[in-house]
Amino acid sequence: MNATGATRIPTVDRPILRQESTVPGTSLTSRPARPRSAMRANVFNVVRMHLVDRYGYTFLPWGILALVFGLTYAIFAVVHPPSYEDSATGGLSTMFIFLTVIGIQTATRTLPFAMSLGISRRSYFLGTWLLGVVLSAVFAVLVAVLAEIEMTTRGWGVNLRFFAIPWLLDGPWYQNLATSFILLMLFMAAGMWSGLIHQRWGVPGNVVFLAGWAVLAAAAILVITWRGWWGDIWRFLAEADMIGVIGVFALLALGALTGTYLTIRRIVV
Amino acid sequence: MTPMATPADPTRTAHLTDDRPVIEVEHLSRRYRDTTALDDVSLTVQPDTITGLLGRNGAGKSTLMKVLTGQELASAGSVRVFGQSPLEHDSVLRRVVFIKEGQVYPDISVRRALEAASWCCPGWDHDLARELVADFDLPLRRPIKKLSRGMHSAVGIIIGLAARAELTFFDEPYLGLDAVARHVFYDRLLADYAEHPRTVVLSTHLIDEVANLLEQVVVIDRGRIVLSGAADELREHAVSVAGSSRAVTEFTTGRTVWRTGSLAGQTVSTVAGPFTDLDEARAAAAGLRLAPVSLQELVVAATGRRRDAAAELSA
Amino acid sequence: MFDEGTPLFVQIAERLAGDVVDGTLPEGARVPSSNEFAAFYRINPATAAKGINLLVDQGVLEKRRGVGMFVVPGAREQLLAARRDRFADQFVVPMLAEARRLGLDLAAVLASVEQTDRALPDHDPDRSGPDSGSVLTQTPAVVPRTPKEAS
Repeated sequence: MNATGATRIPTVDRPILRQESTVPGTSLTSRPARPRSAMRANVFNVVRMHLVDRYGYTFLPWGILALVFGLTYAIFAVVHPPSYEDSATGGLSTMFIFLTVIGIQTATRTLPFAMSLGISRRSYFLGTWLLGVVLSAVFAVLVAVLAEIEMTTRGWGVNLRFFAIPWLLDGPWYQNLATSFILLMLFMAAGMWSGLIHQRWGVPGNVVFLAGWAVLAAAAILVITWRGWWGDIWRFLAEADMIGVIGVFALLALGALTGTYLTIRRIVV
Repeated sequence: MTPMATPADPTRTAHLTDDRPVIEVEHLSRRYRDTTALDDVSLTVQPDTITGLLGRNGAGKSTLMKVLTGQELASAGSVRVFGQSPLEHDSVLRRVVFIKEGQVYPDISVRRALEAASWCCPGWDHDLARELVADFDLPLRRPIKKLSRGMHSAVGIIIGLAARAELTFFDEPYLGLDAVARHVFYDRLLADYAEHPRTVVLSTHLIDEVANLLEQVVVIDRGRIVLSGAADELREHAVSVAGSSRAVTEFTTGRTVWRTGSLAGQTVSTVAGPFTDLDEARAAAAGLRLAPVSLQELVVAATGRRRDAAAELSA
Repeated sequence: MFDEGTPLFVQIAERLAGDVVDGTLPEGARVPSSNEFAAFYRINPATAAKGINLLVDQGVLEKRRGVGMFVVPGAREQLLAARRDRFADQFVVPMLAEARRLGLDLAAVLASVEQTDRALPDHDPDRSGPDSGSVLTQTPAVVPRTPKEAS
């Protein structure tokens, strides 16, 4: 009540809308549920939600890459190495690191936001990977095109080997396209998986997760050494046609995606 | 507001009719390795009500809300929201919005966050969102991570209200908000709820501030529901009795005493109801002063050490 | 704003009834809606509606479908009658209880009542008992209690 203790009610002639809810069909609680369309809408919304930060997904990675390329180019222009073949740089790794960071962020920052707005884990996974696939494909096309130009010009006129990474991306264009596409996906999946582990079990969980992979790798190396398989493996990597290598990467990416999906299904934000 | 709206007919209480409860929880438990966050919780929430979920920190309020929104998994029991399990059901979840303390956002500006939220919430009201942004004086272009605590909370409140979801959860939504901003929230919540009735579940420890906003109250303590019912009726559950120690003891014999304190022959006790007119007359004759207990005191009493008393009350 | 004593909806009803009694809400007037009450007092609209409905049940207010809620003709008299009925319980009983605690006998209580009544600024000699009229030394202005001023 106000200070004078008067009990007058404001008689503002305000339209009253509470009443509206009693009219059939207008209440907020009368909307029918359509499972399929709700899920489709949410998958689409997840894509949009990621792209709300458009520059982060377009200009940022390519801007950074252009910067790194420009700097390397400048250095190469000055130094001018004698041969294109031996002048590999690690500049393209920024692109893969970028995909990993995107993967981590989708798990630790966007996922809790999306779930607070009523998006299921499954829809989030589908939406994120719809974007992930498209993103990896577009980026892979760009990488393959640039690698092709690089190989044609034999190092942009300064013997700079930037995109056509030896052994990995120096094959025919379609091979480079497939390899970079699969690898970009793999890096994003790895980032997202690790981010989900972080989301669920924190830093200790992630340490265990990464250490687990390290242990697994060490065990594999041990087994390979013990069985004396190194020769076979080098031969496979060196001689086997790239399709086999791509197959291995694809299996890894598929494994990471499966792991990501299984982790997100039980995730608690 | 529509120009054709007519004056009120306040007797219409659509939400008291035959609608199915929005939330139905039966024997829900959530156990972690060494703790039990929720222990055999059963409750229903009727459509178009504002329910207060009250209790101490760590009592299980957040866990309950997370299970209700499918963000947390149940160890046992059943949870139905709009008649279905909320877990991984987009058609259910789309009708729900859940704003929690320290809500995490992507690295985007306030404007972008509201934009993204508007896509996901079918009932989103852009005008309301704009008004709320003005109310809370929120800088739209600023990245969320650079906002102060209070402003960060305001983003959540704006999303929660403007979403106009059929079922809205607010879990301690106002960390860092000052009293003025909190009252903006209460006023806006009430006004918008009046115009667009919906089901709101609000957890808070500022019980005195929200007591009059609530239609239903659920008090949870150590994972168990110790008190639940209409806010109006709950207050009749207990009174504080003050007077000479002898008279108080006489009056409270056979009743559940929650708290009692004595000083110089005078005693004040909080006792569980119910109370008849006869009881009141008896108390008056004995020179006892009966005072009702505020919701806050009731919750304190119910979640204090006397678990048995509280359990008895809710039974 | 509200005391914790009575349920909120009862307090809303009491305030509305009070407004009808003192004329703030004249008979036939439209009563604010439950939403207006809710916004003004910062309470749940359902609580406000419950309070209003209490008065509908008592026949103080009536709803006219599609138009709103109005004060029933004769409501004021009805409320006054009800209050007169409750007067003894509400005011006399506690007064006498306190008087007993203080050791005041009935005569002393009555004397106190009369004395207080005379001291009131709007003392009305017509209402006073035949004996007390003569005791009146000052001539207080008889202030007619019009409904509006009373609020």
